Order: sequence, then structure tokens, then C-alpha cells
Amino acid sequence: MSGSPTPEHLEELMAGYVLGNLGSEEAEEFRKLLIKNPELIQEVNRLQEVLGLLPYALPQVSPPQHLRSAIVEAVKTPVKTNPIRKLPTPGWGRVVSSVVAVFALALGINNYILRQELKNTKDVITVMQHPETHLFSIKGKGNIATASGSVLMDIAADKAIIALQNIPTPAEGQAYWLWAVVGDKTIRCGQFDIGSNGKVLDKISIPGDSYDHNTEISQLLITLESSQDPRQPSRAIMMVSAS
Amino acid sequence: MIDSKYYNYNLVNYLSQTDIELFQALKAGQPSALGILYDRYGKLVYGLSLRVLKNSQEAEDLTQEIFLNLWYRDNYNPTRGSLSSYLTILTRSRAIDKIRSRGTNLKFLERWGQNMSTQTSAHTPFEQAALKERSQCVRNALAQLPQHYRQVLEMAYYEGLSQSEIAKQLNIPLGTVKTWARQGLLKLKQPLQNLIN
Repeated sequence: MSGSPTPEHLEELMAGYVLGNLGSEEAEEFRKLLIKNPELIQEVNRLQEVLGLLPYALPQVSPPQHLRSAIVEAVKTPVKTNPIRKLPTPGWGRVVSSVVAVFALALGINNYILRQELKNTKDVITVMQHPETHLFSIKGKGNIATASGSVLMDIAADKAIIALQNIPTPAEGQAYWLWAVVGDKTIRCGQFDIGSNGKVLDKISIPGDSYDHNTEISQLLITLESSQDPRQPSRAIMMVSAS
Repeated sequence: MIDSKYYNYNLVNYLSQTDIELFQALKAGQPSALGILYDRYGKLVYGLSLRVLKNSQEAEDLTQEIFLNLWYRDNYNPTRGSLSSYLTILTRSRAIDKIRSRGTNLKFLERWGQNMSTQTSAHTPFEQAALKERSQCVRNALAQLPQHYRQVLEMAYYEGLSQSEIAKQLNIPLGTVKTWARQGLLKLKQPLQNLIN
């Protein structure tokens, strides 16, 4: 899209950003607009505030009376009851932060857009903190040997975060699909979107019911298939996880 | 006997301190500031937790987690938005993470309604009035929205559903879901602008 967007289109993009529902082209367009007009962030914040007002419309239900005293007492005597201290150690926090930073840097993605694509970088942190999260390094094969990236599989939450680069855009009617090899089965995880410049940063839901959570995923595969509901990985395998 | 001067001073102080002043007092280690913030927003955080989690015990735990987070962590940045908005964003995001981590097979709706607390409010008349006024204002604004705009907005916000999941559930095109949600949000801006400064 060339020239300045209409005010209506700009509003749509801002609302889509706040709601986390921009498509990849729209996200790219909005990223450029934000770089050109950083003051847009104020209007974005206002829309975020509007969205944050929604819970005021809920039926008013009072919390139990003992909750207030439990909270105030907990901070007066910050001993064993402090749940925050049970959270991951600073070392783990640093690891998570640096993984997030590496994701952003490796893909050359502005952090602002990173937050858009994943709704929030906290998504990544949350996913990584789950005990059933597995990080796979993944490499291209054949024609796309330079493609590389990582996939985070969060089995507990049935989500996968896919971060890849140097991926060619698929032809019309085709799409990239992620598959997990579990035991002797190859399970279809889902289709993901290609962003601009051959980069992928997408979070998809994976079919939790298909996994036996006691069996390890031995390998991840990425194939190019019809965008319509493939049952099996039929075409050439484009990328595989390192074993 | 109550010292009326002391009482009046504290009452005025209680009512007039802004959220930012209270947050700074909180960072300075004053537990009473957390109590006042809880009085202002406890109902909002608990109500939202209950709406998403549909379980009163989990809502209680999450409310406690959110306020203790405010005390122990320094994540809120007043230049980026209101405290109220920060609390609702954090509560919603944590609550949705929790329902996702429960797995996909639980039937949450069955639990809805069984766990609603009906305890009487411990809030002062001032807090009740401020909360009621805001609530009324947001309800009126939502009531002005076309029903389908409101529906997709609420499905995305409270159920944490993706746009494609909503499209599937309502059997409408994905583009339509996006447009309705965006237009719904934009249409709320004007009637609610007095509340977002």
C-alpha cells in the first residue's frame, strides 16, 4: 500500500493491533507506520485503555472478606507466604530473557512487532516456564538449506511457537505445516503463517488430545502441503529438527 | 473515642490519593497503600478472574497473586497507562494462561454459576459509587454496540479465543470476525473517553 492510509484504515490497524488480530501484511504495514509516526502509540494506548475497561461491565461480585486481610497480612510478614519468591530463580529469568532477545534479534524483528505477533513477549516467557516445554532447533533441507529457526512446543498448554527465517513464500493454495513424530505416529500440529521477508513468528494451537504426554516427541518436521487440511505429510520435507 | 481530626485527615487522604501516589507509597514499602489499592480494584480483579476462570477458589488465588505481584515486583510503569488498565491486562492474561494450562477437556461452563460468591460487599460508599459509576458507563457503552460486535469482542477478551476459533464457533468468515471486533472496540472509544485519561 502506498501513500498515507485513510484515518479509518489507520484506526482499523490500531484496533487490530490492540486486539492482536492483525494479519502479517497488516502488521508489516502498521510497523512501518509506527516507525514513521511514533506518536501513534498514544492512540494505541488509549485503545488499550478502552479494552481494559471491559471488565467494569461484569456483574459486581465481591471477593470474600478474608481475602483483603490475607493480602495485606502477606506483605506485612513477608515470609513463607510470598508466592513470588517461589517463581524461577534469577538465573532462569536471565535465560528466558535472553532467549526472547535472541528470537527478536535473530529474526530482525522490532520488539514492538514481536509483541504484536505473539500478543506479548510474555507469551514466550510463559511458554518457556511451563515444565512441559521443549525447544527444538530446526534446519532447512534441499532447496531451502539456509532456512533455520526454533520451535517451542508447550505440551501442557497445547501451543507451539514457531520462529524461522529464510523461508520462501508458498505458492497460492499451499502452506507450511508443522508435524511432530511421536513414537510411530506423525501428528499434524498445524499450519503457520509466513511473515514478510521470509520470516515466521507464529503461535499455533496444537492438538493436545492426539499426544500421549508420556511419550517424547522424537522429531519435528515442516512440510509444504496444500493449505486445505492434509492428513499426512505427503510432499517433500522442507525442514527437520536437529536430533 | 475517635479523634475526629485524625479521622478526617485519613479519610481525605484515603479518598484523594491518586493511584500513582499510592503505587509510589507501595514501592516505598507501605502495606496500607496496598490495602487502599485493593479496596479500589479488588472487586474488578476478582470479578474478571471469576469471569474467565469460572471458579471462585481459583479467582481468589489469582486476585491474591495479582496484588502481591504489585507489591513484590516493579513491573507497572505509570507512563504507559493507568493502574486499572495494567491490573486488568495482567489479570486477564494470567487467567487465560491458567485456563489454557488446564487442558482442553474440562467443561468449564458446567462450573459456571456454581461458584458465584454472594457475600455482601465490604466496600465503602465512596468506592461503591466510583465503581458503580464506571460500571454503568461501560455497560451503557456496550449496550449501544451492535450485538454481534459485542459478542466477538467478549469472546476474544474473556474466553481468550483466537479470531479463527471465533469464526469457527460462530460459523462466519474470519475477516468478518476481525472487522466486528475492531469496529466494536473503536465504537467504545467515544462514549468511554472520559474514563481513559
